[in-house]
Amino acid sequence: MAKKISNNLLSVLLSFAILTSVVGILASMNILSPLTGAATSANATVNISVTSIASCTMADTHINFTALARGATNWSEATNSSGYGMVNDWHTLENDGNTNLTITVWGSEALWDSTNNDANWMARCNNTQSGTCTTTYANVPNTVGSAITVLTGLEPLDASDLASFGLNVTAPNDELTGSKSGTLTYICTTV
Amino acid sequence: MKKIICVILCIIFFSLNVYAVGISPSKKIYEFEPGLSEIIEFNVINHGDEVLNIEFQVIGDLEKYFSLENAAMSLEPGETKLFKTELTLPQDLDLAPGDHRNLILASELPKEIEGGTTTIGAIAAVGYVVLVKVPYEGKYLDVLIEVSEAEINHNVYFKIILESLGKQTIENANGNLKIRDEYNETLTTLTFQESNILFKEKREADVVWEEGNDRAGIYNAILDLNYDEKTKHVEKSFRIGELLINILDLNEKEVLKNRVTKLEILTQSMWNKDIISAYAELEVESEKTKSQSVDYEPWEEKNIPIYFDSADFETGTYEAKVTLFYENQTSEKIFNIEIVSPLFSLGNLLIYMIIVVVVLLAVILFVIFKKRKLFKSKNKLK
Repeated sequence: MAKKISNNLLSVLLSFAILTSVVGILASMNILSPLTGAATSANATVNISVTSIASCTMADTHINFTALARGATNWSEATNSSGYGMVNDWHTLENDGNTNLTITVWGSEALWDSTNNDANWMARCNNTQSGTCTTTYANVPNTVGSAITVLTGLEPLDASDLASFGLNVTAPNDELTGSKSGTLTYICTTV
Repeated sequence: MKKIICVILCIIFFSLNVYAVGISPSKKIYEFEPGLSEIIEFNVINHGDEVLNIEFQVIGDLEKYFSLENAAMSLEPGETKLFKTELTLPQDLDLAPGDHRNLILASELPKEIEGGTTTIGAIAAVGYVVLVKVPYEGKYLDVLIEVSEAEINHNVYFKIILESLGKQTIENANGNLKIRDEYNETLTTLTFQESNILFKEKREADVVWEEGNDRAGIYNAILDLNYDEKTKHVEKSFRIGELLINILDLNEKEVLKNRVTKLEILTQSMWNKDIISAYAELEVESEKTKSQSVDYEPWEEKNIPIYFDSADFETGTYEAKVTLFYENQTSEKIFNIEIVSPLFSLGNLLIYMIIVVVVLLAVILFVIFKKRKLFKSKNKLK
């Protein structure tokens, strides 16, 4: 058996419905403005300031050379007349921020035990989708303050945000045998 | 064997990980004043897919005036943390006029590298730029050229940004902007004028090269600016049109079956600078052949030889896609290639026709000779 709705409840519901309608009409006629920030005309100018983000990702973080004899040289390129080549291995960096980047590089962890000589490892920019690539090999400095510029103007858009970098290493004549590892730090800064 | 597997796994592991560090904002500029004291804050972001250990350091000529709140921090994947530092310059600091660029570096901590032989790892670091500008005595204008890339025969818009960094007002600044091509020949000279530029004021002069040029390439804008008996020289290169090599033609449209045929792709550079290490690829029914690399001088026409082996193809007409790769770009063109049996090749048909003609001539001569002989023998009988 359905319960009967009381007159009091009906009057409350009716009052609420009338109030909602009136507020709605007033709001739509801009007499009452419960919404703030709404556009008040068809044309508007909006000033938006986008905060710059400088960000970079190392997509390919390792270059693996084959074993080297003392005094021998190897490098990233696939074509190598010295007989040690066919490496075709590059460090790859992506600009995943929203501002153009300058890329500098330095040797944050020495590759060789016997020497800290910059000339025993050199770096260059191989290819870039944007900006200016320094494609000649330059000695890798061992202090951050002397980091060398390898690329300027790397853009953040997806089609133009990738660059690759190569290395040229020469095993020192008095280097001890064993596996060797070094680390390059790629510094990304906004222009 | 286990060692080899470990090495391979290490290489795969290191190849798959993504290390990424970001900062926001990325730059702050201060006007120098003695005793300047500023709190510098920026967010450090881990965009990568593993925990990122970051260390901070300051490099630059003002590095000793920074005090870092934290020298290191650790971020979970996707995490952002606020970094704070304070820059306090002494009251009696005497800095040379100009820009003093310092970097607060956020670097990944080096990781253990396992590679087996000679392995070089790479880590990313991001630098927050703190630029302290020290005003010049007297008059000094800093000049920057901005230019939009333009299409061929369209207007090229230059924006010359003048910033007065000297303490005295600049009364008049007159600029001559020369546009030079690849041969260093001046194509046009554009002028502009500005006056009464106050200390720290930035002015923008808009200059237009109407209709630009009809040849694609890199051009140089050379600005000589005279302001109140001082001069400034600034250069900026810019691009008109697109770097392009056109594929014009393919020299052979018919190749013999079961032969390796030397084809030549006729191409032309539409660019005013050298293009190095371009190469072509010929694709027929998913079979790809590459050419040797070639270099182009500006506007050079070049035939690129490419060798096509028709051994795996039946006779018939095929679509041959020629793709040219250069400077991270490609050009494509599709040609039709006909693979024919040696019996029915055009060259062979000519030989067949000549043989038929020769045989026909021989038959005719033979018939004439026979008739004459018959005629002579009849005459003798008479």
